[in-house]
Amino acid sequence: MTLLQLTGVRAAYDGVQALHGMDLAVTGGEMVALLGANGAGKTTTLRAISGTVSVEGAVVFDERDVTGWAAHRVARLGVGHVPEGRGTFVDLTVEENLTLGTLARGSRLRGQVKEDLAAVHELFPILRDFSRRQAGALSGGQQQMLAIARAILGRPRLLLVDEPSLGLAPMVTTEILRSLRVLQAEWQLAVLLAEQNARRALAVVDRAYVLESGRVVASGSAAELRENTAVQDAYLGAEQTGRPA
Amino acid sequence: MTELWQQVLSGLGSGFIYASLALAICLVFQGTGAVNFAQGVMATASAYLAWSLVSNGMNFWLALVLVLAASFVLGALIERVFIRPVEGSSPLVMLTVTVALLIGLQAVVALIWGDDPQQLQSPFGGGSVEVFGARLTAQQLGAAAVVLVTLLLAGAFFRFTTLGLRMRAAAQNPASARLLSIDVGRMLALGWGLAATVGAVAGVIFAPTLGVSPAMMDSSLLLALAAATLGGFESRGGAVVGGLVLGVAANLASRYIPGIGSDLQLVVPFAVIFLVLLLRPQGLFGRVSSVRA
Repeated sequence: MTLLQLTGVRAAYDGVQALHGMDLAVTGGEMVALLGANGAGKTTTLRAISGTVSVEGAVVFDERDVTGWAAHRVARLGVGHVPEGRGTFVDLTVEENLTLGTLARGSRLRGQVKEDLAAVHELFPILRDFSRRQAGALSGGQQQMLAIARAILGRPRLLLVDEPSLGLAPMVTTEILRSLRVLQAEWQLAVLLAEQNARRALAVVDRAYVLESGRVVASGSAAELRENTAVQDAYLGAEQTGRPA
Repeated sequence: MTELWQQVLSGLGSGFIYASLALAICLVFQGTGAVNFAQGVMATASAYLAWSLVSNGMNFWLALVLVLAASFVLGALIERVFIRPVEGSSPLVMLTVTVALLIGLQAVVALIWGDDPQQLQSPFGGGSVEVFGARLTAQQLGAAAVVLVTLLLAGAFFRFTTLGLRMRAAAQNPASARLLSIDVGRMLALGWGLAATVGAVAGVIFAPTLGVSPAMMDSSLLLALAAATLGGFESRGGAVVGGLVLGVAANLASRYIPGIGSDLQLVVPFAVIFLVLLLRPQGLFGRVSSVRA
């Protein structure tokens, strides 16, 4: 079942076109990566879906046309977004950040909050240990975990994650991506992951789209894209994919 | 000694006016980034409304409750109508809008109720109480108690309720708040409504002392701005403490510093604003945001 469908989506910032007709689809429960270099339109695509940039074209989520909806209304339908820069509430405690996550689910699955919180704490024990600490005092990796945990506690049906590896040590990134995969399987959640590091992303996702200049230039299963040296050389950069240049 | 104690206590009494106005100013500032110069005149309008109701025979406390509700609605409405269109604009635009609000509302108040000062009867009667040797009127004590309860309730609201948490989130990081399905616009309107309510408590409960007139809150507004500067515009608790400190300081200065007297009392807030901006611009309790990359 198609959960998300983008058709001919265009978006611009201050008159500069960032998306030139994006077409993509995500099915319920699958994990999909958006790959591409800086400026290819990965972040804007996620923002077009969550309603934080104004778009033309059609964004359909769960058979509802949400094009032009305010961001908080899209979020209420079950779209979680871990934004670029993580969007931590730095002056609130870790616990308060997570509570905001659970509040985002509205009336859906309200009885489930305690168990979900326990599951998240098990996955990221550091968030339990530091629960009374100010979120701004966490390290970058910890803040990334917090951002993902918070978004996921809203029990979204689609989770958008923007560059979780940015500024983090490779070990930490791997750990975070692996946790994401665990949650995705357990909570039957679809994930759309924007990631510059193609090799790392292709190791965890089911499928991927390759973007360049605001459109999709290639797509396929993770296995196919891992094998496709032509696509890798053209759009993903050899050192990014781990092959010798 | 008793004299000093007496001055401290009565300074604390007026400090509660500044504290509540300062808290209101902080609430608005944290949410919309605007220093609301109209906060004082909004409280004046509330006081006039209470005076109208009471002089038409309504019980003071019932009038207070109705006025608080009306002030809440009015505050939220002002946000929707006047602030929403310029949301996210530069501080200069915000300043212009709130100063325009100040002038406009003052005119509206004078238009409806006239310029003549009016007297609102104290709901606490004319008695007085002795507190460790100092004499306080029932009005002073009662008004301070009502404001104190209001401030504590406001604090508890932000600390312990989920709505308060969502309002803090919306104020601190609106973009992230939206992604967590928080209707930021609604939170800002709520913040303005709440600020108007807190200001209205001070305006109405202190009206018997201040007298009801279009300019009744003018000097309190200045002291409240100094209080918010002292405590830090980012800190609700700091603004309240700042208000109390300034109340005492202004009172002591007018009593003990030769040449200041009650006419020059307003020198104190200006001196405080000046010194704080010079020495510690974020205020005593303001934080330089603790962010790590």
